[in-house]
Amino acid sequence: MYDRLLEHVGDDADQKQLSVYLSQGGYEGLRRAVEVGPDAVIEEISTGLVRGRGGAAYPTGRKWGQLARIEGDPKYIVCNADEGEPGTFKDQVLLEKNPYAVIEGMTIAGRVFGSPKGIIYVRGEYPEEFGILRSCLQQAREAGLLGHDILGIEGFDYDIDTVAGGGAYVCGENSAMLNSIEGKPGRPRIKPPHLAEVGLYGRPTLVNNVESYAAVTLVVANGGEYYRSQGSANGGGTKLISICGHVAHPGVFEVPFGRYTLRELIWSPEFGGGVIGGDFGFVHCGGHSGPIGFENILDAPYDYDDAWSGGKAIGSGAIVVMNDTVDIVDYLRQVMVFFRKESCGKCTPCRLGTTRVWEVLDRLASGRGEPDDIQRLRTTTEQVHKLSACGLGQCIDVPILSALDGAGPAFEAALVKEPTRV
Amino acid sequence: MTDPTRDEVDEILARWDHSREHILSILQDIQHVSPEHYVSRSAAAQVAEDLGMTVTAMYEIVTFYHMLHATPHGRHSVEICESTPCYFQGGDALQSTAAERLGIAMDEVTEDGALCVETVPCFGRCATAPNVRIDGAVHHRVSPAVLRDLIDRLVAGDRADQEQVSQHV
Repeated sequence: MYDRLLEHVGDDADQKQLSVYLSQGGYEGLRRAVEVGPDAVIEEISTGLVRGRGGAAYPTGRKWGQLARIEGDPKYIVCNADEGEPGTFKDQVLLEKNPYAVIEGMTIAGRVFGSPKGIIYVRGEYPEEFGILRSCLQQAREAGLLGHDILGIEGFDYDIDTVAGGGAYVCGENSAMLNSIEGKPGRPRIKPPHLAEVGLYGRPTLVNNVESYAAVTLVVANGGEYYRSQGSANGGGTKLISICGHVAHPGVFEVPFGRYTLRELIWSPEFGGGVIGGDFGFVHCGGHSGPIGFENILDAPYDYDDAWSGGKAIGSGAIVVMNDTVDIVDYLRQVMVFFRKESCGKCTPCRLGTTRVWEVLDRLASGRGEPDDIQRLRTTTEQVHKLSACGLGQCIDVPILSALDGAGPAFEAALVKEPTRV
Repeated sequence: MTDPTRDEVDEILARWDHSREHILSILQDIQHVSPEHYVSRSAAAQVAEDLGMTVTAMYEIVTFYHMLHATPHGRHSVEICESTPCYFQGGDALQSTAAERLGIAMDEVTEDGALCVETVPCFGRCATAPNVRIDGAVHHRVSPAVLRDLIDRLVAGDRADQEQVSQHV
């Protein structure tokens, strides 16, 4: 049985063919899940130290354990394939190169929770991956791996459908995604109640990221102890990372937690291959809501327990490298262009706050900064962070404050810059 | 220029099992067959009735999701990624290139309804930045010169199409 998400996948192998996946040992995880039973599967996931791969890093075993203790029928299984963090394209590659690992992981969840139905929510910008999944699901159905009496086991009935998004970053937030699946605008819900209790159509629901389900397949097939041994003391197994920006070899790579430093990931010929177009400027890790690091953090290990970000640098697996031709203030302005457009508008602190923060950054970046703008930037950012209802607004402090702390002089310099436009 | 017919909308609804879960696919398919790539009032009303929703609820959906349009959106679309990996690897210059070539601002439609140019968030092709999506097809590592050429060809192609249409009429 393979023990990596992508490493065993040959360039020529057509991973969209179920026969290819089966020849690699596919569906051994599901067979083992049936054999050992629900409690043992959840125990293996906890032992394997799997943490949510979408960005929040919540322990997957704990999430599954919580749903197992909740009464309610039916329970739904949902896969978050709304990969929208800028600079992140690892789920896209995983869905192209190992789609059945995701489907198998969701089927294991179906078995564990006795669920009738799983749904994969694929972002609207990924029509190819949507098509791949539909074809793979059909092949699994025809092979008796979805539908009625899966694996010939009487009463093991479970199917998976795909639902397409319509272009809204906020739908990556799990409760917003469930609203979107229900055919409503994708605005987040106020929590509690948590989705494990009141989820899709008000039923108990499990929501995990694409890569998390694939990790579950590996854990169950290879055992939790083995999976954990592949990673670090803070996180088991491997992580898919997307390195892009000013590097020689942008792309998706699979790395064990804790084994490499950011410096190695950016410069090693095996990974990013070094900075191009100038010297190293800074690196934005984990997605737009992740921290920005400068030269002094490059020797931190790529792990959940790094000293500089408290693991926030892992996030979605994005590593966006910028060379020294890019001004950090200009960069942050562009980050806020994104957040203010994607704010869903439901809560005032985020709807107005993201625009106020963008305005300050726009002034600073174009040489129109006002004397107290740096303080205003910090205060407004902290307010949006504290008062917003969901992760979108709550996380904008991470890139902004890490940049302010790491590159204070650049912001001071922006204050006395000549105006570039009126 | 006609909107999708009732039969076309019915066929799309059947394709997605008249399921509200697939409302975004239904609306996107309707936009796809609409010559100006938007959800017309009549189509929105038809879908709303079929799915047991109010027209207001339908418009709440159409206006919430970026990929759906409630007004004519141009016969062709040029979407420039504005997320940081693209923007700082030449994407910034592509915005001004497109705007200058067409004489419109971002997110506007040309007067003749031929083209809409918009900035869009990351669509996950960051390894080949800067990316531009034209009528749904992604073009990688696009330079201003290449974008000018692509736009010129779109405009010329649209002009030829329109002449053909008017000859038939």
